[in-house]
Amino acid sequence: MILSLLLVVGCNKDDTKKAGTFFGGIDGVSIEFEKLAPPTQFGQDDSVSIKTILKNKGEFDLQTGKAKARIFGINLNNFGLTSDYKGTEGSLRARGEFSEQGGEQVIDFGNARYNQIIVNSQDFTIRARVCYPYQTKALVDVCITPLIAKEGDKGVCTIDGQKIKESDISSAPVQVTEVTEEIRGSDQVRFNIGIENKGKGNVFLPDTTCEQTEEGATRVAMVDKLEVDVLNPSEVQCDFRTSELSSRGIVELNGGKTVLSCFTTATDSYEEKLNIRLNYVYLDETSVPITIFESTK
Amino acid sequence: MKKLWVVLLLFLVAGCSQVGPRMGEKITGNPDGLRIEFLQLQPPTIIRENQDVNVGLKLTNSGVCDISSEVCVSDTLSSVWGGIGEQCQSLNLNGIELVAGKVSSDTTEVYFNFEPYTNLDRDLSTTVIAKSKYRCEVSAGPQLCVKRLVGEDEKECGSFETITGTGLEATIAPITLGKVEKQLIPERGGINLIADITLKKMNEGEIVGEIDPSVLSEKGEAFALRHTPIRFETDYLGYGLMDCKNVENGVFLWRKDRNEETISCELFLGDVDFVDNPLDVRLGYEYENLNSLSLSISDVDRQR
Repeated sequence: MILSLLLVVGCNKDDTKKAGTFFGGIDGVSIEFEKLAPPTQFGQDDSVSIKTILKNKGEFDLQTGKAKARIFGINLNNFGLTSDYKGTEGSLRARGEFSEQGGEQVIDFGNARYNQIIVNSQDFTIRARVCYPYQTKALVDVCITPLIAKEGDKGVCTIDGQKIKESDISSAPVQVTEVTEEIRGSDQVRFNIGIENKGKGNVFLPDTTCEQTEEGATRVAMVDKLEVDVLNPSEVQCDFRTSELSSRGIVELNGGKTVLSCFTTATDSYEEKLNIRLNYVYLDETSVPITIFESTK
Repeated sequence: MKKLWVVLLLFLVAGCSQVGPRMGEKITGNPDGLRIEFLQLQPPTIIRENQDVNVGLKLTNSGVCDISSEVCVSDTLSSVWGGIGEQCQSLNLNGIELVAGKVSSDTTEVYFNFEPYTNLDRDLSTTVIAKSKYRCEVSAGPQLCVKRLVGEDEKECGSFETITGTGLEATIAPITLGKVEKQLIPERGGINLIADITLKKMNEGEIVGEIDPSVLSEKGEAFALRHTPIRFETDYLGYGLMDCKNVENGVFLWRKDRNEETISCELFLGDVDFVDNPLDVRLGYEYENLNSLSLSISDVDRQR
């Protein structure tokens, strides 16, 4: 008994505290079917409610209707459902000082009733997809120092090692996983910024509509891409492969990750906050198995 | 302490109890149907002239189709010696069903009484035949997933899949599904679903049915002798009927010497979302099961 209690207590990890700027984590907006909507088993003549719950456990606010969901994975006509995306009817507050759990919204897809012949029983898997624009924020302490200061050991900070500390990155499915520095030439500091999709879903360009993520041609053009915006230091330039040197541009994930190289000029030695925003649309999904039994009437 | 052990034991017992299939669940498996057996010594394999002939049969329905038909007994010997002439009795057997999680088959015994074989001038042998013909209509089929982009999400939904075993949801009947091979072919404007559906027949018995006279005149008598019709229709539920090769007006002609046949079907789905949906294969046919027993009839005068 005591051992069990110890186990239970040990398993309850308190994830509501934050150590620095952000709570951190890889959560964004989660989707799940509401309990008994649909039930896991029902009769052919039953009309059952279909509802999903969206929970924002990440650290980016979503206004009313920005997060959308749709039902798929079954022939929707057979169930009297539509394939349209439905937006939330309220905002999804981010996890933060005033809402440690984050906001949640229910999306009601109406009632489903199977209109085909059932012999004995038929198993299905109902799936729901959530589509939402999201932002990852990174605020990382970096060291800006020219070569002369480093070699003369007159620098006020060091460029060596991993710069990301706990709570430097906001909770979101796409994460800045690495920030390292190196000195190039006499006065150039280079940042290697690792970006990775840590969630189970797919990343799309920030201006992609939910409907476009479903269309073959546009989907291929927009998937696994996101916008990186380096807000500070203001003079940072990044090597975006598809555009000129800039502080803002598009990166493409390969195998869910990429490394972006940026640089700035250092004339003096000082500590700075590297302020990065990742903007994207994220898609995630959930499923529930159901069994429909033949009517006995 | 004792109480704690009792609680633990209860947990173990509850955890180990196997939960059987629920009522309403599909009973699926290999092809099967009516089975006819001769009851022991009914008749004995050797009988004497002037001895009454009693035939006893045990009939078991191991398929899902209800049987409402008749069972007939005859032999291969001329009627001049009397003995077994054709006799029929009505036969009503329910299809298999789940009772308390177990498959239950309906079974019955029927008895036929015949006049003795007489006026034999030598020992004779004959074959006793017991047969029954019944109609079976079944619906079976697996869930087939389709998706918009071939090559994407292959783990979740393969573009090429072979479905066998329990995944087939093959209803137990004299002819049922043996295999389904799925292919998703991208075409202009969407996805083409191709399903090669293999049907299997139970080893015992045969499909019986009359070929339509128009087919007979078109394809000839030799073709008609080698084939027998079954009704075949396949629907990707909610998307419409599939177009199947060698199926005309919902009829497929089965080669009598084959125990399985493969029918290739396709359906253009257009721009389709990721969907898991039932393939509904509907079959209808007349099936005849028979069993036979060799019988020796000894001439009483010769024995004297």
